[in-house]
Amino acid sequence: MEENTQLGRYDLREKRIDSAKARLAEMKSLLPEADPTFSKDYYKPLLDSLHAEVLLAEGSLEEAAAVGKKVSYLVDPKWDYIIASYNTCFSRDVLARIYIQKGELDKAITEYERLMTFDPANKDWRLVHPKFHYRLGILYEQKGLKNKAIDQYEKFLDIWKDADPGIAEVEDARKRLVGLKAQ
Amino acid sequence: MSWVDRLMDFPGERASGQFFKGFYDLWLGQRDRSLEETRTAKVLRPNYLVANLLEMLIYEEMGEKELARESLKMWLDYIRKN
Repeated sequence: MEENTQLGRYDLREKRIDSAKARLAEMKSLLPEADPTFSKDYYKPLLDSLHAEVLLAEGSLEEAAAVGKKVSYLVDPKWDYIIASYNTCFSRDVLARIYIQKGELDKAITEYERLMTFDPANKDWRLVHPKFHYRLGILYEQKGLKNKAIDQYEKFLDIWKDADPGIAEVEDARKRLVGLKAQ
Repeated sequence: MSWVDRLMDFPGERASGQFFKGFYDLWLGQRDRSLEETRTAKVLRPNYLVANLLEMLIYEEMGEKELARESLKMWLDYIRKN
């Protein structure tokens, strides 16, 4: 399962959608045989995440949104392996990115706001990636919400104040912030 | 990061601490430092499986496709053998 997850994710980065779909099919066939201790809380969310990413990559946006909505992680933060793979394997904002592709910016904003609001009842304890502030800032900017956009860009640039030089998102956020403040 | 420093004081956990430092550095956009921490974790704990995955992600963020592929291969080789 893990092997197919990583390889499928890698296939998508290399734009090999058919290969990722084949890995997804294998994962689906393996899930019923997987160790029940891991299958529901560990393997199923990885499978759903890969499925949503595959559908997004091939442009099947309605189906992608349906799958993206059911991605549900239950993270046990005690394991270094789980923390690393859950937080880095698939970006947590797949549903927001699907909405952006569909042109549904309000829904994308709502999804990013949900992801970045702490809910003690939510058992998905994956970390909020700092890039989500940047992505939400762009959405606010597109909707003409200048002050909210400024707030998100400032948060992003503050968290990444010691980031390596030359990162495109950081440079773009700086430019956008200057532009918005000059308006 | 203070909990990571405390973790590293425990016997046998130095590699885990280095790994977490690498993980958080990547999260903060400090890719060069993240790579150093992760490499140190791999030296401290040979065949540190998840460190190979983290290394792959760092290289991906850096745009180093070939190196990312090599790290993925190391991870795959290990899990296929074990």
